[in-house]
Parts: sequence; C-alpha cells; structure tokens
Amino acid sequence: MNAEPQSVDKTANHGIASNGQKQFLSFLLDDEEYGVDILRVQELRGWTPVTRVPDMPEYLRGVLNLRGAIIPVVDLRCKFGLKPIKYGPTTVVIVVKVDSGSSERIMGIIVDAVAETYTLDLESIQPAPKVGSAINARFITGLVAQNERMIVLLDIDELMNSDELATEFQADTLGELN
Amino acid sequence: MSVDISQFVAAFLEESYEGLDIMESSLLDLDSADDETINSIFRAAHSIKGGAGTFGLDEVANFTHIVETILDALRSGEMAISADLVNLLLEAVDCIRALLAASQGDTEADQETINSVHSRLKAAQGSSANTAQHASPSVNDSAPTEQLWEVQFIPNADLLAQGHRPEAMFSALSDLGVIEAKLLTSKVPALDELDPELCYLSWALQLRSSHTQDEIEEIFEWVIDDCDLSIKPLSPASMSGEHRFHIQFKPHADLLHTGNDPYFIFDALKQQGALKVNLDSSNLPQLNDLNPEQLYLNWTLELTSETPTDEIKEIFEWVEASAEINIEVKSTGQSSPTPIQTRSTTQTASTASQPVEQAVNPVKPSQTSKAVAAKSGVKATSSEPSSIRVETNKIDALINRVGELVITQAMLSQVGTELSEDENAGILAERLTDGLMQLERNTRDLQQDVMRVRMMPISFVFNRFPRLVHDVSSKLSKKVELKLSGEQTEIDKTVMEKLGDPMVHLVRNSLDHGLETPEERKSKGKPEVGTLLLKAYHQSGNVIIEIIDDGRGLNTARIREKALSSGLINAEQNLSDDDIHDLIFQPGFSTADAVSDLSGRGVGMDVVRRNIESLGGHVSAQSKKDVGATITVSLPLTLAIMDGQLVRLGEDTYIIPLVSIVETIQASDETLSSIGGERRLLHYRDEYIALIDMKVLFNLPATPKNASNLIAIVEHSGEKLALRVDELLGQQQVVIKSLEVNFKRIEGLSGATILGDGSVALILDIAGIDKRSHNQQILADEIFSSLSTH
Repeated sequence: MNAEPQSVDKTANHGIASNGQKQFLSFLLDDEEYGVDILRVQELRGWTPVTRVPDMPEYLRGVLNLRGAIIPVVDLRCKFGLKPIKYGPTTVVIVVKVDSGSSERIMGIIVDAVAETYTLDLESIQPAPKVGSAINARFITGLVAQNERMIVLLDIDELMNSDELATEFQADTLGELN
Repeated sequence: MSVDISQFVAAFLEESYEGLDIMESSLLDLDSADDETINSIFRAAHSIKGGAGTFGLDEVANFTHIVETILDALRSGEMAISADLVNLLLEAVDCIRALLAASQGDTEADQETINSVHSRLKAAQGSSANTAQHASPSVNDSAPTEQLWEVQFIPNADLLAQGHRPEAMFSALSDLGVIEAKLLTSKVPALDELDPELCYLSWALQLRSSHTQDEIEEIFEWVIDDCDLSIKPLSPASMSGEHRFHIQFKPHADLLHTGNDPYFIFDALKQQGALKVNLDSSNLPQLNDLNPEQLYLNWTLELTSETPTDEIKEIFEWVEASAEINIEVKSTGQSSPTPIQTRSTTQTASTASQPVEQAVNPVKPSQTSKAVAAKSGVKATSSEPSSIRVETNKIDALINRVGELVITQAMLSQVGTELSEDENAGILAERLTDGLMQLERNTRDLQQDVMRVRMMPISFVFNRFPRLVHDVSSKLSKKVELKLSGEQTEIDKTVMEKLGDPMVHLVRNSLDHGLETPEERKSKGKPEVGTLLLKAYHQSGNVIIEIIDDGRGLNTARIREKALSSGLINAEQNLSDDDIHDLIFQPGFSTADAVSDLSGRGVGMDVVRRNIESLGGHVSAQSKKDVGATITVSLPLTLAIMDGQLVRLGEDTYIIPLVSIVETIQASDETLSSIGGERRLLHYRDEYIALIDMKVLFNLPATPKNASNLIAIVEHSGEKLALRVDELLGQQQVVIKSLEVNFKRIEGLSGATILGDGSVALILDIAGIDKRSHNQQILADEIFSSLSTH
C-alpha cells in the first residue's frame, strides 16, 4: 500500500483556521489516543444496540436510527485489529460527516471513550512513520505529542471510505462468502 | 437599490418550461380553438419573452419575439390558423426550449435548426399581411347572424357642449336591435361642484343585433373623437356568468398604517380570475417631499371573473374605511384580457380583426367532438388551482419528521399501556391513556396528510402524449386519436418521475406496431382513425395505467415463432396465449419487421418491465387479434411507505414486501427435496421452486436443525422463490428509508425502516435475493469442481 508520508500536506489542505491551528477531538482505544478533525464530528451518542447487516465484515457492527436516518456504525477497535471488549457506559458512538466524493455520508464510529479536545499548531504535527500494523498508513494524517502522550490523527475520509465501506457496490462480493 | 436578479433565474426557467408546456398543449388543441386558447399561448410566449429580456437571454427573447408576433397576428385574426403553421409553432416551442436549456449551459442548442425555424417563422410572418387582406372581405359577405354586442360609451365631459345628444344615438342603436342600457353615474360629483353644462355620465350598453360592428360604429361616427368608445362582440359561451369588473382603488395616504398591503388584495383578486393592474403614480411627490410611510399610489384594476360582485367587495372589506373604492361591473364580457378598444385612432385595426373572429367561430362545432378527449387533459393544467411552490426536499424533510413523530408516539403509547396496567397508577394513568389515544389518531391523520402532499395527478405524465402522438403519427402517416381518461388520478411524485420513460416506450410501441395504416384499417372494416386510450385509475392501493389501442393486436403466432428461434421457449412447451404475450417482456425480444427510428430495436419491453418492477409494480399484456392490445401497468401509490410482513431470522427482524408474498406455509419434510446435497427444492402446488434458506444466504448464525420449516413463497418477474424464515411476526405499514444515503446499496436489501421501538429493520429485495442465491450457487459449483479436479 502507498505509505508515502504525504499526509501533512493533506492536513494543510483541509481548510484550517488562519492562525495555523486546528481543533481535534480525541478518543481512546485501549490506552491509545486518537484524534479526528472536530469539524467532522456531528455529535456523540451513548452506545445503543444496532441492527446487524448481513454479510458484512465484523468491524461493521450494523446500522442505527439517527433521528430517522439510517447510518452504518463501525467498531474501530475491531477495524484496527484490537481485541474486542464489552460495550459499557463510557462506550461512545462518534457520529462523523464523511466526504465520499459525490456525496456526504453520516457514519458512526464506536470508541472506548471520548478524551479531550485539543487545539493544535499545524507545525507540531509530524508525519506518520511507516509502521507495519493493522492500521493502514493511509488512515493516518500525522502524529502529535500532547501532555507526553502520542496522539494519532486519523483521516476520516480515508478511513470511512475504505474496503467494505466504499460507496460503490462491489458485485464481486463472492470472495466474502467463504 | 440594486437587486441580484440571478436568484430568480431558476424560478424564471421553471415558469418558462411550464409556459412552453402550456403553449405546446394549447397549440395541439388549436383545431377547436376559442380565443382563450390562442390567448393563453400568446400570454405564455409573452412572459417568456419578457423574462428572457430581463435576465439578458437575448437570443431567447429575440426568438420568442417572432413567435409572439405571429401569435398576435393569429389572435387578432390577421393570420389564419393552418396545420402547417401549428407544426411550425410547435417546432418553435422546441427551439425556445433548446435555447433556454443552452442558456444554462446544459446542452448546446442546435443552431441550424433554430436558424431554419427562425427564417420560416419570418416567412410566415411576412405572408400574413396579404392573406388577411384577402380574407376579410369574403368573410364580411357571409350571412350575418344575430350576436350580442357590448358597447362602452364614456363621453368626454364637453360632449353636450358639442351639440351631441346621447339619447339620439341610443334610439338609433335600438333600431339595430334589442338594446339594454346601463347608466354609470360614478363620476357625478357632489352637487356643489356640479357644472350643469358638463356630462358626467357614461353608459354600458348591450345590443342584440345582426348588424356588423361597422354599422354599430357608424352611429357613433360624430362623437368618436369626443368619447371613449369600445364595441365588442360577446360570444354566447362567455355570457355564462363572467363579469368584467372595473375597480378603482384609491387608498388614503395612511393605508399602510392600518396594516393593509394592497399587494395582498391584488393577490386575492388574482385568485378570482384574470387581473390587469394599472398603476397611477401621478400623485407621487418629488423625492424630497416623499414621506416613506405614506401611500401616494392609485390603482385601476380590470378583473375578469365569474365571482359575484359581493365577493369582490368582500376582498376590499378591510380597507373600506381607508380607501376610495369604486367597483363597476362593466359587463359580461369575453375573458380576453385585451378587449378590442375602438378609439378614433385604432379604428382600422379593430375593423380588420372583427370579421376573422366570425371566421374562426363556425369551425367550432365540427371540430369539438374530435378534440374533446385530448382537451380534457389540457384544461386540467391550464386552470390554475391556488398553490405554492415548495422544494421537494422540504417535503421529504417534513415526511421524515412525521415518521419520527409516529415512532415517538408508538413509544409513548407503549409506556402508557404499561403504566395503565400498573394497579397503583390511578386516575392520572387513565387520563394519560386517553391523551395518548388522541395523539395516535392525530399523528396518523397527519402522516396521511403529509403523504398526500407528495401526490400529484398523473396528468403530468399524460400531458406529454398529445404532442408525442401528434408527431409520431404524422411521421408514420397514421391517423390516431388520443384519448385520456383518469388524468386526475394521484400518484407519488417519485413514482411519476420514473414512469415517464416506460410510458413513452409503451405508447410508441402501440403507435408503431399496434395501430395500422389508414388503408389497412379500411380494408379490415375499421374506422380510418385509430384510437389510443390512456387510462389511469386506483385499484386496491395501486395505480393502474392502461394503454389501450384498437390496432392489430399482438401476433401470437409470430411471437411464438420468434421465441422458439431465439431459444426462449422450446417446441414442447404448452403455452397459453397470455404466457406467449408475456414473452414480449423478455430481454432481446422484438417482432418488429424492420428496425425503425421509433421502436423495435429489440430492446424495449424488457427495459420497460425492469423499470416498472424497480418501482415495485408490474406490467402485463392482453391482446385480441385485430381488435387491439392492452398493456396494463400496475404501480404502488407511493414509494415512501409499503405494507410489510415482519419475519425473524435468528435474532434479527427483517421485512418482506407484502406485495411480493404469494403465500406463507408451514412446509412438511416430504415436500422438501434435495438435489446434490444442500440445494433444495420445495414441492409447491405441482411445481418445484427453489428453496432459499435466508440465514445461510445472509451468513447469519445457524439455528438448530429442523427448528422451522416456515416458508414464505414470494414472486418476482413471474418467478417463484421459497424463503425459509424462523418466525412470522406481524404485518405493518413501514416507512421506507434508504440505506444508500449514508452507506451503500446492498444486494438483497432494498432499504430499511424504523420499527415502533426505534430499532432498524432491513427490507428484503426479492430480485436481489434471487440474484444473490444464484451467485452463491455458482460459487459453490466452482468450489466443488475445483475440489474434484485436484
């Protein structure tokens, strides 16, 4: 996969405040802290059971009713290959707006808990190194150190348009069947 | 103050396209034209021209100007209507449409066509002057018939001083026929201001006479320079109760303080009929004297309406105290917005126009019967019901919101029920239950009302057909009469938008293949003119549309032959006529002798079937040789809601569309047979149908063996499938939500809905399930063969 560290440029393209700063919402998966562009976050919801959609990868937990709209919900732990935990009172569904080319989609991300909001200087964001992990390097826009913790900044559009989440229907889903 | 007019362009375009539609349908109706038809075409052209000029679309404005000029000539009778001219004008309508589209950068206008139509229009316009001059005298000679005339006589104040005596003129008029005079005294001033030497009176006369306009005018010959005179004929039809109101509205300067806005009054008047507003701004002071809180304007209104005077007066009720209002019922009159005004200066024009009006009228009786059918559709659109323009997404948002309300209400009801079962709840719980019941009723009504907002009469689809039939039949040199019935049948807008193309295809097919040439029809002893009937009606929650022609019918033998040769059926198959007719909807099927420009390319009916089935409807054909064919299209009323059967698969609830369910059965083991292991068939009423275990298909966790043999027999495209489910739950009406909006299309699912408890249930798509199970079997075969070869 393409792991060129072009991600910093990408962040810069996203339309930021003029003073070179940008706000992020951070959340936890295990002990790791991740951040997403706060302007992409529509709302936060407590965990409620979702309706399973047949024949979907495990990380796609199902769909849920967001005030009349049907939105898909992704378990980020599962997507990132972390071991599953039981959903509890801190489990949060982050509802995000995803740019899927021709349309904007509303989708949900299940995370362990929401942590902080940060205002970050763009200069302080470092490009992500090539790491051989379950997390595809495409999904990462950069790393940033905050309060002696590392925060992984995620590219929501790349993440939520990958694989099975892509808008176009793949007629060739036969491979999934066994 | 500068106004950004670009924001109005969209509205202008929309109105223009509507105007063009009116022009088109009215032009097709012109055979039986009354003046109102020509007027409505003219008005449409006129407002397009005006709008185009405002928005700087000069090309459109210039082009429309020529059309308008010709229409004006038609209207005044300077030009005679001919079939060629109607065709030319129809082409011109197309050109204007193309130019409008081009102005938005959608498409490139075909300049060549436009230029050619342009020059032909010019030519038509040029020749008009001569023909009119030749035409008028001959018509003048035609035997006069008794007619009703309306004479408006408003003398100048000094009429009497000139030595004229109105009563002498009236007595001369009464020699010509029966006269009815009405004295209008509105201008008579208060007594102390009255000058006895001046004439303050005016008259409205009705004359029944066989004399021509010239002869009537002759009587007024001497006073024509000293008065306002208008003479016009009243056609008997328009006497039915249309009045022409002349309203003078002089509000006091402080009208705006009372909170009244003249605009609303005009708007209310507009609802009553055709309104012409003349603004008198002569009282407007210099800018530096102007008090912005004062009203300096006066209006003169001309209203043509059937409304009684009292109701018109009522509209002004609120401003009576703060305005001078003078309502005159001038006369019963034509609904023409521009009556023929005869003043000394315009005399020649009006005399020229008069005879042709008579020339048009005699055509009427012979033509009316022919045009009645097509006309009814046109009438529906041209009459303007009071309405507002709302964006569809606003309505959709409203529908969604109401859907949410229904769910919330269901949740509350559940709580209410639980509470009332609690013995300690007491009187409060009872009152809550009552309230909740009322809420339920109201929400249900509200939901129905909101759903109805989306419904539109099917005439929006039907209205394109008069033109299509006109064009296609002349191309094929066939004589066709189009009849429409049930155009007011309402159908969901989304369904309707997708219905247009299949309908065009079906109608073209009927014209091309169904109806015969006049010679052929004659030899069969049928009337030369073929009939094509489009019929729409409601039947048990569906909209049925029938396309009926009295042509040669489907050629059963040929279809069978063709199907055999293309391998769709085999020779042993014993098929009923209906089965054979159904074959025309198979992919790649065409019996057309030659590939024509119109239809018969071999793709068509299968696409029609697919389109209609994607809307949840179905299509079938009935036919009788040489009597005709009927294509029946059945569609759901709306795509937004449907009746569903709730079923359980494992822990999940799914919904099967009730329309596709044939039967639900508890199958016994004997009726289930297996072929090569897993794949199984259900023996159902003498046929073997494929059994699909839904949980296997969807890769859901398996349940213990033999837990259920509950089977839903479903049908799509005439093919049956047996779906094995775990449990049948209730049936209910569900609101269909898209999965695609925020996710993607999933094969086997057509969407989702929200159940009473707020959870989501997925809706099964039978066609998708069929396809999916095919894929799975192919895959299984591949695995099997790859295993056996290695």
